Amino acid sequence: MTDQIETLAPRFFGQRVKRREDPRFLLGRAKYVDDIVRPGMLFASFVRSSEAHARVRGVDIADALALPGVVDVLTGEMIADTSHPIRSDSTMPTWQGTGFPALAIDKVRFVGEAVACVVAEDRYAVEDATEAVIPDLEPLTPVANMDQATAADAPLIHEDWEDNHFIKRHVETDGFDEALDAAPHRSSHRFVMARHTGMPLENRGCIAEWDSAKGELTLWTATQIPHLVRTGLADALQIPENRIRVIAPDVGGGFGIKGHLFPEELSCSIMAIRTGRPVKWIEDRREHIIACIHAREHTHEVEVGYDDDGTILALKAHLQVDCGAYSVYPWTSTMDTGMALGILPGPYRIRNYYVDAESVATNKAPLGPYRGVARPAACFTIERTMDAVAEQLGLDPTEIRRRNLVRSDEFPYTSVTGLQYDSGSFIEALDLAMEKAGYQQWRERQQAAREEGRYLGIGVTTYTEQTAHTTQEFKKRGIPMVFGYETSMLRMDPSGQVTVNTSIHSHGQGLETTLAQIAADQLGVSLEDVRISFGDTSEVAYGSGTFASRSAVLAGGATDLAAGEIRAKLARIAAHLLEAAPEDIEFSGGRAYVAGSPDQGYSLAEIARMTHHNPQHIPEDEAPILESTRTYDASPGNGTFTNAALLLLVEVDAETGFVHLLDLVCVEDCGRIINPLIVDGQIQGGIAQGIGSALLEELVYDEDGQPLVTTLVDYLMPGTTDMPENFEIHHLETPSPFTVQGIKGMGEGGAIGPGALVASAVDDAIRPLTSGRVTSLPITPEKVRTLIEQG
Amino acid sequence: MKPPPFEYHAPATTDEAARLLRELEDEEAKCLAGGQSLVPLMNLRLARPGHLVDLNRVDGLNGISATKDGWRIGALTRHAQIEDSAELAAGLKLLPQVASQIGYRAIRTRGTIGGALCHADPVAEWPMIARLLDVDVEVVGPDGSREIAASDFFFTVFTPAIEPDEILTSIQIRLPKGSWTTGFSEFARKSGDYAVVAAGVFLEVDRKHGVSAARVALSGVELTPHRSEAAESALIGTDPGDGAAHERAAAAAADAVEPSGDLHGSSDFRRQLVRAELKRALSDAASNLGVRR
Repeated sequence: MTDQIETLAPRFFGQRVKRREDPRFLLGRAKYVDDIVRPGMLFASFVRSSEAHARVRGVDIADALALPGVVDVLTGEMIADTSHPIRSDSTMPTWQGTGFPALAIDKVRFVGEAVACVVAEDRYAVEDATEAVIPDLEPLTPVANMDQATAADAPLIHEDWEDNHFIKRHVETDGFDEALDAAPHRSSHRFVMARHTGMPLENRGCIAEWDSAKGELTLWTATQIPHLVRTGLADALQIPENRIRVIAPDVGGGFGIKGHLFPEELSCSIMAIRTGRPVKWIEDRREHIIACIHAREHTHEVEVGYDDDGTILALKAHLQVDCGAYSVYPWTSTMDTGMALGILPGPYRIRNYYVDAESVATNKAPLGPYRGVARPAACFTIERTMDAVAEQLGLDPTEIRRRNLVRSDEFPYTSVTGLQYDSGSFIEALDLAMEKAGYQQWRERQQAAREEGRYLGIGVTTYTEQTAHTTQEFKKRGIPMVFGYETSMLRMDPSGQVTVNTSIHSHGQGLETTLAQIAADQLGVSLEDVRISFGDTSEVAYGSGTFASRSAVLAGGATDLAAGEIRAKLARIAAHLLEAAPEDIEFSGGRAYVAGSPDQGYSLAEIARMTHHNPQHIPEDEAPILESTRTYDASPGNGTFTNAALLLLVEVDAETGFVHLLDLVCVEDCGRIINPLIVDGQIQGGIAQGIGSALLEELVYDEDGQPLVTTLVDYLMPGTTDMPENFEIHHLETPSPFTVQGIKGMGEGGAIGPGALVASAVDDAIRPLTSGRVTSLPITPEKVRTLIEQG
Repeated sequence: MKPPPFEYHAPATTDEAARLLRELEDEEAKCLAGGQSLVPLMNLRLARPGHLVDLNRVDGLNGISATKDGWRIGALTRHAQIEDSAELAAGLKLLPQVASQIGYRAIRTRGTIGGALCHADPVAEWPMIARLLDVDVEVVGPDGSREIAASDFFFTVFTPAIEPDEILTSIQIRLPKGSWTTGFSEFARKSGDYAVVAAGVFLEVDRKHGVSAARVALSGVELTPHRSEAAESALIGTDPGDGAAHERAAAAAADAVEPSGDLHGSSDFRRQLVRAELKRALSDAASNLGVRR
């Protein structure tokens, strides 16, 4: 009998269930913003600044307005009094804030900043008209990089500021100087991570539509955060939130870049209200590259003190992040700095720490979150430092890590910056990676290759990834909004089918599958009986959206709780019908029945129909609907910490500096896994993006703040053929003690390690040729050649 | 990412196309072949032709055929056709080998050899190969056809020596009678990407005296494809498989160029790449010796 029940109740949790959303995406049937056509729709295009820093003397729109098909042209001056700029301020001391206007008003502060918005009957006409708008810009001295920005006589980007810093932070443990002074060995390093960005297949885009009869605005937009966009729009436009509906349809990749309220969304909304017609804007790739959100661009100076055994005794750091011209909504310009400051010690037992961290403003596109947020840079710095210490002491790079990693018996471990690492397997992951890779055999291959004049190198990286952080963590960060909970509303309709409306968004993460797995397990139904719906602010009360590797944990938790509540109600109704006790009701195969007697029960469809249509049969005190809304905030809210160890074998072409990626082994521990197929896919995708950061991607600006990289000809993205020849993923499963089902987030992790990992491997490869070491990303062939030539 | 207004023409013959080009001479007419460079440039509004004369419906411009002393390749022949050609694989393997390095397969199914020559991108493969093989470029204008030697064809960057009312119709490849071999190697930051530097070699080999004639062409070092006389003369009389001779020729080629640097490589780095890639091309040529004809 038990066997029979098992077959009736398959458990989806932990299964490699194929992604239900994939047929839609793979067959080209997904519906993105650009696929949506509204009656009478106009097309918007933006006139963008060609200057990095200039005063706006005026904008001549007369010629553009006269062109055929042009309906309206908007400038910053025209809306200065009627709409508020986007504003995102930190509550921390030293913060200097600024609005980000929909269209530049008095000054432009980066090349690509929107100066005017044109709308016309079609996309061709609007682009012709965009060329006819003539901004009159009086150039000011550009502040193109952090050196220029922090120079004593630097021009101010925001004239009411004291200097070009969004924020300066300092953290220092008691007795730090003594600890550093007492260290038998010290060394200093400087590491640089270039500016790059997320490059989703679908660029940004939106359609704004104003219903003048009702006074209601609808915005379809390619966003990860529909509710937060609604709040931001409401604040900027002074329209109540119940008059704004934000819909995020299928979104073709986000990676954090689409987790913002953008000036373009504001302009399109204003244009829809002005013209009374729907306004569509679809970003082109050049706009995405120069005028969207950029990421990374960190410079880290560190001094490390350590003993003869390689134990790290003290770490001093000066972190600078080039945050560009404006503070982004809702994150502020503190994100990268705060994250780097907090996680720099990484998975290592470092107890003496001193850090200065600055968010610097420059005349460049604003910096915002991109998969990994600051952790790729922090990981690069601490891992490069570990490699340097190992080399100075003649230790194997895996050994220095093993000596400093937090041990399993130390969890929960509170880091020197107050992060609570809930659980983990830092050393076990490293050991397993070495075993799976065959670390010794790799060393032997390396030796044999060297004898043939070929340069193989082995890289190692370990990291811990803060995920699913909620109320406590965001409260600490001084962001005005605290992104705590997510919300799921679960309904069973009269046919017994289940719909989950959730506040997160899924744009590649496979959440249509994982959330269905969770709901189906709770209710004992099949995956086909569960529909997951998201991306519409009218469907769910509120929630933050998808970012920070938290959707599986938080929306998964909320879905689990809501499904549990429906299940309890179904049990009460079934018990009433069956004259049994609710606690004796079991669920599987789409049925509710008395434990031990599967024949004595009802299908959920029968119960659902009776509940809605024959409420006389259900208990009098039960409402005749099957609906539950639950929020979930994974307390204590500091996040769950996923960890990984990576090993990489590369061959460096000493003549050209080209880095061939041969074998990569990743051991990841993200707690209990809902769907290993999806987790593997997330790791692969993250590592691919990390390899882009490591070897290829860089947004280069010249000394005048002009972007030199404006198309994909110059912005090099990794493709499948640029991945390692062999790519293995293995898992450990150390549950989080804090979350529903012990799950942890893991969406960003893959992107964190590769920069450090490839650097470690390249250094190891070229060690016989040079004393030079990789200190900056990306590791271009020319950089490798330069290191080899310096000898 | 939408082009400025233009008028579209689709002639059926080369004569009609040439006549159109003459009529539209003052209105910036441009020929459209595969469109893999021109159309993106128009979408970026960096190219603004008033008229597009689409050659895709013109008869007789597409195809690969053997001639008495070599090959004729129609201007509208797609890179993918060359890549897939069994005849060329057997007769002049260099061409399929090079074609496979151009962009991605999707690009190769549209892009054409004639279009690539007329675009005259200094880092593109076909212009360099045209110089390497000393091809003759056949063009047709309102007054009939003429042949232009590859050495005269590339005027400067993105500028072929072809009149505005002329259409490139084919290239003629003439091969020597004796024993010869070819080699090719290119350096790109990632697979499918533009080459930073590429090297091609064509060696005539005499069993007794080694290399009797050498041609060495490089892309990515000057505004037009470069023929390295320094490397060519260094190779004469050497054994085609002599690594030390390859090294000397590669060093001579690198010393003789003054590339300008850009985002993808400084002058020094490009010179180093010339050295590395030419050595590899020579090694490729040695390994191809006797393998095919």
